[in-house]
Amino acid sequence: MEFEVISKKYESYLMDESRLSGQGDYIVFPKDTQALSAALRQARELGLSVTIQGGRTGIAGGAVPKGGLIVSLEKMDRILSIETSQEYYGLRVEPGLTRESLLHFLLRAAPPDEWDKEQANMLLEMKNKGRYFFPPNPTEASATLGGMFATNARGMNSFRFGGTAEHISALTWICWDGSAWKIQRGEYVFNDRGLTLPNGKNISLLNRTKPVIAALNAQKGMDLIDFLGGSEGLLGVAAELVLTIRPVPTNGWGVVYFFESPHDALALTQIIQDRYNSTDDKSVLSAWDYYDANVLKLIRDNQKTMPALAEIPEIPQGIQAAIYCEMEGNDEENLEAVLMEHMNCFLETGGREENTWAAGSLTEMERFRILRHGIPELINNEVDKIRQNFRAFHKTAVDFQWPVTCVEDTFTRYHEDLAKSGIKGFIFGHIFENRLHVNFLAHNTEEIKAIQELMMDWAHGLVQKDGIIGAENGIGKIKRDLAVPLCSPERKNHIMRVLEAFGVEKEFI
Amino acid sequence: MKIAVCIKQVPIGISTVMDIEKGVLIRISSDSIMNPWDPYAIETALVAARQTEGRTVAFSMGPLHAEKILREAMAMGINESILLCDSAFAGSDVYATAYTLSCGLKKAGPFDLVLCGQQTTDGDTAQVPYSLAKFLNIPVVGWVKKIEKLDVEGYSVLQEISGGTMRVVGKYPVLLSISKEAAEPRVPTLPNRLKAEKSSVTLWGLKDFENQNPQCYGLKGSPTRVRNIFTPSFDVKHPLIIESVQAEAAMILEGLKLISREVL
Repeated sequence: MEFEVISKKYESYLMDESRLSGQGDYIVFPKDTQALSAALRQARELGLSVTIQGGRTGIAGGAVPKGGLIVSLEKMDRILSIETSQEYYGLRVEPGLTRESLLHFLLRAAPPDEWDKEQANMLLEMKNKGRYFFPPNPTEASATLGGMFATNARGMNSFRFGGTAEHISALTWICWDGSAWKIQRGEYVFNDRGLTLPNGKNISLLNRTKPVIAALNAQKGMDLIDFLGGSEGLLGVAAELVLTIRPVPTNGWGVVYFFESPHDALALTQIIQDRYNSTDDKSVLSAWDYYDANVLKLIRDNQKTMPALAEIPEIPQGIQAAIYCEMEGNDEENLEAVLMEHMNCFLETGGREENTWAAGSLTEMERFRILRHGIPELINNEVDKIRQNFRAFHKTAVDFQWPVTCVEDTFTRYHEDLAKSGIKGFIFGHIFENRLHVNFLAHNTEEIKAIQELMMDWAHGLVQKDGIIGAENGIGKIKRDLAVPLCSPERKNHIMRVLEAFGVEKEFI
Repeated sequence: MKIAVCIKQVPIGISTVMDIEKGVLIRISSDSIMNPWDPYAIETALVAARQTEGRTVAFSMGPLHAEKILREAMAMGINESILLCDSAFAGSDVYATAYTLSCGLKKAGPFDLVLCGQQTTDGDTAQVPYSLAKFLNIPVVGWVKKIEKLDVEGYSVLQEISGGTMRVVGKYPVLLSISKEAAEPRVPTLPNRLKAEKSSVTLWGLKDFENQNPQCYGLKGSPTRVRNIFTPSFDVKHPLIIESVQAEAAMILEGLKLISREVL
């Protein structure tokens, strides 16, 4: 395989959405599994370090190269085949396929020309049954399936559907020496003795050691596919993935609740959590996201200028927080009954009827999803504005997973500490799962230092409670200095042994 | 004051499949939404109703599942909804659609103010408001981009015309076709949404109209046929090779200069 020397035309491949920039010596664009395998084998023979890239939409710097070879998977973007078993369908795809292209395929596209008649008929049969979807929905539409798997990307509905890895039923994994493993879900599962990999090497369980990071967290009962998901390019590359495609529920509701105080939003969340935990029916609620006052102001300030937000009415004045909730199901009456219950709870926390927005179908909900999806873009714009005068700044954010039992502690800590520090920050995201995002803005080195101290202080508290750093966006390069010092010697040793088992020839720590 | 607003359910995305024999579009999408211009007409109706203590009625001509958009209209605040639904209405062109709507409005009316969205995303002719006004024998002001006044005395609106804007002032009755600049549609609240789900939608078919001759409706009542719909193709004669961002910007600038010279 010919590796091209990095030239000016490949400048955009030296950075990702984190706004961190790196350097690379060579770049290659494999077109299929064989080419990818050959490229990795060759890189190993030449002693080149490798950075895998998908859509470069990650915000932790994972795709930013630090010399060596860049392997871009953007040309591996085909939908290879379809398969079916009972209720679900499976789509075998290449890792460079974007979420947007997948959505388009599921909604509108005809079978690819290279598919045979049987495959084409299966696809048409699926489309005739109704709409199907792939549940993980991270905000960036140009994210690739390979990147989503590498970070175990989640999205707004992670509360109900979990991360990307859970929806992969099989994959082809290319190791760093170019060897290929075909892995079916259920075939390799961690037991009391750990797990024996396809190459015969063994990985032990991460027993009573604080995990600190989500990646390489070997637990009993975990499937190898789930172990590989979120490994952020440390252990190899997924060359093909079989996605589990599910039927879209027939009914959906999206509701925005506006609050005059953030603590009212917290109160409603806690009430709904109590009700949710005490019911057997967990099928209806699929998202419960929080937006703080700074996020709402950012949206309000940009509604007239950002075309995507222009379709949404202006956010009411005097509002200090909002919750966006989604519910889906096939039983319309049940959905409406739960909604009435939520409405009553909202009124009990001091909410007012006129401070709600409601969308009564999956299509209408897209309008509210634009709000959610627009937030990272708006924040990126703020980061870019700062970088015009202060190049050292890059996207700086935390996505800590705290224990779900201490939502109030996390919420209060984030709001109070941010207010005390004087740093501008945006708090939003999965409050129901106690996994809020905090995005910071810094205009000088003093502010960067203050942010780092704040993040470290939070991280210490998090690890003491067995929480996870980089639960959603990964560690990448940006959070290494935050996460690594907090890993115990046992944790570091476990990680090194895992890397050895996968034949990784580099210093992780 | 009585205010009518005409809305339509359209497929998501643009249907490019047509039945050549019948000269009609085949709706291949299974998902439908309210025509994106219609919320602006609904909002205008609601504001007018508030200012005149008026009553609003939404009309739609379509299949049974178009009831969904009428409920959305009621969730926004429309008082009453009427669905004109009959197999005899299928395949209507602009003329037949406007005639059918006029039959519904005449039965429920008379209305002082009739509002329509400026155009739809499927047919995209923007002609129904004018035809409807003709059948109702009332004046029409199309391409309304700003409402300056809508009260019991009359109206004052700004209309988009070629090369500028015109102020149109008048008294009722009138039909206004509303552009997206003219209003900011409200989002239904949750209580209103839930209430609308339980509200009834009146259903009228051919048998409810004074004129029950099926030759006047649907495909039979449509004097026009769509001959063909196609996407024009462009032959690329000169593939571009982009060297750098600066070269690309220079090329675009040259292209813009060329276009502006040709236009002027």
